[in-house]
Amino acid sequence: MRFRFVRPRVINFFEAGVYVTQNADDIAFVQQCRAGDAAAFGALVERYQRVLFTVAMRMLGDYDEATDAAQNAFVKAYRRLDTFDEGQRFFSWLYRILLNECLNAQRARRRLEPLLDTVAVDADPARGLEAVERRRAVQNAISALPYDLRVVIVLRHFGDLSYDEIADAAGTTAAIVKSRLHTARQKLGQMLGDLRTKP
Amino acid sequence: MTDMQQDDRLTQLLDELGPAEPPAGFARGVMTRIGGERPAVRVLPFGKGGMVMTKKVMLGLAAAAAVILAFFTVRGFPTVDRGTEGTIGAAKKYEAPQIAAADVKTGDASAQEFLQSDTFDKLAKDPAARALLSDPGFVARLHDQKLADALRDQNVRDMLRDPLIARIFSDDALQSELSRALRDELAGNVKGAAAEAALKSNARAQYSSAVRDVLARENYRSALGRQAIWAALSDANFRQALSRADYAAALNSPAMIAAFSQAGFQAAIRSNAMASALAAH
Repeated sequence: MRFRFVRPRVINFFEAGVYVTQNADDIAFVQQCRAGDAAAFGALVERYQRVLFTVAMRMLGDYDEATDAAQNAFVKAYRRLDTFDEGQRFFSWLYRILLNECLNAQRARRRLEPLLDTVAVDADPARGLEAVERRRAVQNAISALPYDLRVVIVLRHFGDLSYDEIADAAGTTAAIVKSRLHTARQKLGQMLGDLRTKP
Repeated sequence: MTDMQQDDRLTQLLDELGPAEPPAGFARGVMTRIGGERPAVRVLPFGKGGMVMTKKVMLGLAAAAAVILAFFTVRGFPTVDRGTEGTIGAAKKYEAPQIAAADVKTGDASAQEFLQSDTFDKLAKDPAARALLSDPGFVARLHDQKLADALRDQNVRDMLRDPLIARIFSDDALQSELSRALRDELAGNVKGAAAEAALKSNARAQYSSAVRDVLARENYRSALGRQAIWAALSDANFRQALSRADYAAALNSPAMIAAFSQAGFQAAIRSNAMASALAAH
C-alpha cells in the first residue's frame, strides 16, 4: 500500500483565533464515515463550516444562498465520500463541490429577490456606518466580478488557498490562476476607486 | 499613493471584510439532512483489498455470455433430467412472496418515525390537510427547510395568505417596487436613529399605497427579507394553493404546526415518503 504525505496546512483567517488546520484527522474522520459512523462527519462539518460559509458568502453575496450552498456542499460531500481520494486534501475537494453549488445557486437566482446585507455594525454608530458602507462596497465589487475572477479572489483571500490548490478546486492551471488573480485585483481596484486610494 | 500602496490598501479592504459567521444550527442542519444515510461504499481496485469490475472484464463476460447463448440457440437447450420435471412446480409453494415496493423501507429514519407519529395520523385523517400536503405547488416549496421553519410563525402564515401580498406578487411591477423598497429600508436600518424614521416616511412616499402598506408592518418587512419566503411567494402555484380557504384552515391546524417543527416531516416531504404514506393511509 502506498502512503502519500499530506502537508498540514493552516488557513489564516485574518482574525486571531480563527484557524483551520488540515491534518491527518480529516482522513481519519473520512475513514470513520466510510465505516458507517455518520457522526464522524459532524467533526468535519464543525471544522470547515466557517471557512466554507465565508467562501460561499463572498461568492454569492447573500446570506441565505450562502447557507444553502454551504450546507448542500457538505451533504453532497458526505454522499460522495466514496469518490474522495485520500491523497488529496479534504478541504480542496470540499471547495470544488462548494464552487459547483455556488455556480448552481447563481444560475438559479431569481430576479428581483431582495439581497439583505448581513454586515455587522460597530459599537460606534458613526464609525460603524462608515465601516458597514465600506464592507458593503467591497462585497458588491466582489459580487460584480465575472465568476472565474471571483473564484480566484475569494479562494485566495478568504480560503487562503495556494495557486495550485485554487487551480485544483477551479479545474484550471496555476498559471491561469495567477493571471486571473492579477486581473481580478485590477478590476476590484477600478471598481473601488476612492476607497482604494484613501489611506 | 503609489501602486504598491494601493495594492496593499486593496488587500486591507479585503481583509476588513473578513470571515462570515454561519447561522446558528448550521452544523445541526447538515447532520439532520444526512441523518440515517450511509455514505456510498467505496469499491477498491484489485490489489488494494477490494474488487472492481472494469469495463474490459464486463465486456469479456458479456462476450462469453453471447457465445454461450448462441451455442445453445443453434444446438438446442439441454433437457431436464427425467424425474425432476415436476419439482419446480412443487417447490413454488415454498417460495416467499416477491418483495413489493411498499415493503422496502428506504430513506431517512426520522421520516419513518414521523410517518408513524400521532401528528401524521391526525394530518392523514384531515381531508384538507391531506389535500394541502398533496398539492404539488405547496409541497414543492416545502422542500426548503427554511420555509417549513418560517411557517411555524403565525404572523408568517397570516402574511402569506394576505390578499395584499398576493396582489403584489402577482404583479411584476409591484413586486419589483417592493423589492426596491425593502432594499432601501435595509439601507436605512443600519443608520437606525429617530431621524431615520422621518427619512423613511419621506422615502416611502414615492411608493404605491400597496407597497407602503407592507412597509408599514414590521413583521411583514422582516418576513419578506427571508429568501425562502420571498421565493415561495414568487411561485404562482404556491400562492394559488394558499388562497384556498380549506388549505388555510389546514395550514393553521395544530397538527400541521406541530409537523413543521419535526425534522422527520421535512425528510418525509423530501423523500416523497409523505405522498406514498398519504396514499396508503
